[in-house]
Amino acid sequence: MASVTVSHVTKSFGNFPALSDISIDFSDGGLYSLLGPSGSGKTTLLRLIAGFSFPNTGEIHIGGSAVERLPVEKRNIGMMFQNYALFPNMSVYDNVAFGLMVRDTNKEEISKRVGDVLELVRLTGYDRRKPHELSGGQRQRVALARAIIFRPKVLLLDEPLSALDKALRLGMQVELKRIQREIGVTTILVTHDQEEALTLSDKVGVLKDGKLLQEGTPREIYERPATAFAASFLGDANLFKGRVVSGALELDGGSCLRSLDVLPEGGTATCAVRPEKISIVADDEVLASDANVMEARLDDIVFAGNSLNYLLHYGDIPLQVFAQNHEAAELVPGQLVKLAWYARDTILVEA
Amino acid sequence: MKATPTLLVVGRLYLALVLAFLYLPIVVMATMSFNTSQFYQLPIDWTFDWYVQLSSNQRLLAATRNSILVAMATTLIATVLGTAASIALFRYEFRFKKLFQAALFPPIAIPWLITGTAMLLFFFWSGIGRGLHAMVLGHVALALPYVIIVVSARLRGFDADLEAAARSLGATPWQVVRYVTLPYMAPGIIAGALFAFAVSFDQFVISYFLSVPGISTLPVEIYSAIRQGFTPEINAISTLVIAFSITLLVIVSRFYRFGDSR
Repeated sequence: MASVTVSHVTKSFGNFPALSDISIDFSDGGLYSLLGPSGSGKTTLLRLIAGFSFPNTGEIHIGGSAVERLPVEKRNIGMMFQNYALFPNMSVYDNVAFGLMVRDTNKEEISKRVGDVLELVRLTGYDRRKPHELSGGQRQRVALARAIIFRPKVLLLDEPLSALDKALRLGMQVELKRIQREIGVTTILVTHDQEEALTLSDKVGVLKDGKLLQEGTPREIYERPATAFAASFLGDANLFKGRVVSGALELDGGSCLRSLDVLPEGGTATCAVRPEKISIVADDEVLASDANVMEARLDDIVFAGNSLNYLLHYGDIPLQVFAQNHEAAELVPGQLVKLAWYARDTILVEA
Repeated sequence: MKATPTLLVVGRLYLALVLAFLYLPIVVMATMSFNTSQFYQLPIDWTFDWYVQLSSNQRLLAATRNSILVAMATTLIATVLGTAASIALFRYEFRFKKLFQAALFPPIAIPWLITGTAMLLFFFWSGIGRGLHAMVLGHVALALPYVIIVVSARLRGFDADLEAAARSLGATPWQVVRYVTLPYMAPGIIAGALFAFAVSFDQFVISYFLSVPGISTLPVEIYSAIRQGFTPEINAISTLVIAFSITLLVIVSRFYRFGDSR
C-alpha cells in the first residue's frame, strides 16, 4: 500500500494542453475520485499515474519513489478498465491469474490466491467460465479481482460502473467500497458521474479543462462548491447573479439575498443554492430572521415518485426546487409561489 | 415471399448446373487418372498404373518437391513479415501510412504476366538472377498483401485496451504479444499463412519466368509436360494436388470465417 503524490504535472497533446500544473495528494488507503466532464483531463491524469504516458513536466510519486519515467508494467499498479478488457480467449481463472503468471509465481500459490480473490469478489465456482459467458456485473468482478490479486500499490478505476445498468450499479457501489476497505488499497477512480463520486469516495477532486478546480470530501464539495461549474456539475444548483449592495446580493428583480459568505463589496457576484434547500412556503408562514425569501412563477411540476421537482422562473432566472412527496401542496402552474431558504445555504461561487 | 414450386425447381436446376460447371471437369480428370485407357475410353477400367508411373517420374516429383519448398519458404517469410506489418499498421500512426495501405492493393490487381515480366527484368538487372531463390522472392512479394489484408482484418476487431490491461498487470512487451495479441491474432495468422501457401503453390506465370532449365515448379512442369503430349500421369498428379488443396481449404474455413469476429 502506498500514497500517491502528483506534483506540478503538465501534459499536452500537440498544442492541446490536457493538464496544466496539477498537484494532488492521494492518501494511503483512501478512495479518491477524479470527477469531471469529458475533456477535463481526468482520464489523462489516470493514464499518467498508471504509466501509459509520461508527463511533460512535474513529478509522480508512488509510495515515496519517483515513477514518472517508469513504464506501466514496472509500476505495480492495478487497473480496471471501463469496458473491463477481460482477455476473451482465457477463462476467468486465467484472467485473474494473469498478473501472478507474468510475475513467475508458482502454481500452488497462484491457485490459492485466485481462490481467495474470487471469494472476495463473490465469484467462487466461476473459474472455468469464459468472459462471454458472464453477466456485466460478473465481468466487472473478474476485472476487479484481476486488478487486485497481485497486491498492487495503487488501484486505478476508469469509469468503473458506467457500463452497468442502474439497478446493478447501486449494488456494485456498495461492493466496490466493501472490497476497497477490506484490502485497504489506495484507490483512484475516474468518473463523470457525480453520484458515483459522491457515494464511493473519501475525497473528490473536480477537474475542468485540465485544471483541478476544487478538492475535498464529498460533503464539502457538495455543500460548499467553489465555482458555479462545480455547483451545477455536482448535483443541481440554482445560480443567482447580481450586484453586491451592503453585504447582500441584489438581483435584477429586486430581491436581496443574504449569505454567510463575505460578498465582494461593490462588485458583481454569483451565488448557488441547492434545489432541496429551498422550500415553498405559505404566505403566512413564520420564517427565520435570516431567511432569504423570493416570489417566483411556477412553470411546471415534475412528478418523480418519491419527490416532486418544481420548475420555476424568477425574472429570467430558471429555478428548481425539490420537495419530498409528503408535503406536496396544491399548486398550479402559472401561479406565483413564495420561496424561502436559509442564508447559510446561499453559497458564494466563482462564476 | 414464399417460393413457388416452379421457382424451387428452377432454382435447384440452376444450382446443379453451377456445381456441374465447376466440378465436372475436375471429376472427369480425377476419374481418368484411374482409367487404364490413355484416350479416355469408356467404360472405365480401374487401375493405379498412372500413379505407379508417376512415382518414378523424377521430373514431376522434383518439381513437386520444389513447389513445396518454395511455398513453405514463401509462407514462412510472408507470414512473419505480414503479421509484423499488420501489427505496426494497427498500433502506430506514421507518415504515409494511408499511402502504404493503399499501395498494398495494386499488386493483387496487376496481371501476373506484367508483374512477372517486371520481376524477370529487375532480377536480371540487379543480379539476383533466376532460380528457386528468385521464385521465393517473387512469391513473397505476391503473397505479402494477402497476408497483411487477412491478418489486418482480424486485428481490426482487437480491443487495444487488452494490451493496456496486460501491461498494467505487469506483462513485459513480449509477454503482451505472446499471451494477448498473438492468441487473438492466431486464426488470422493461420488463414494468412494458408493464403500465402496457396498463392505460391498455384503460381504459374512468375514461376515460369523465373525458372531455369531443369529446376522448375509443379505448375511449370505440368505446363511443359502438356505441351509435349498429354499423359494420364498429369491427371494423377493434378488429382493429388486437388485433394491437397481441398484439405487446405477445409483447414482455412475451420480457422477463418470471413467477417466473423469470434
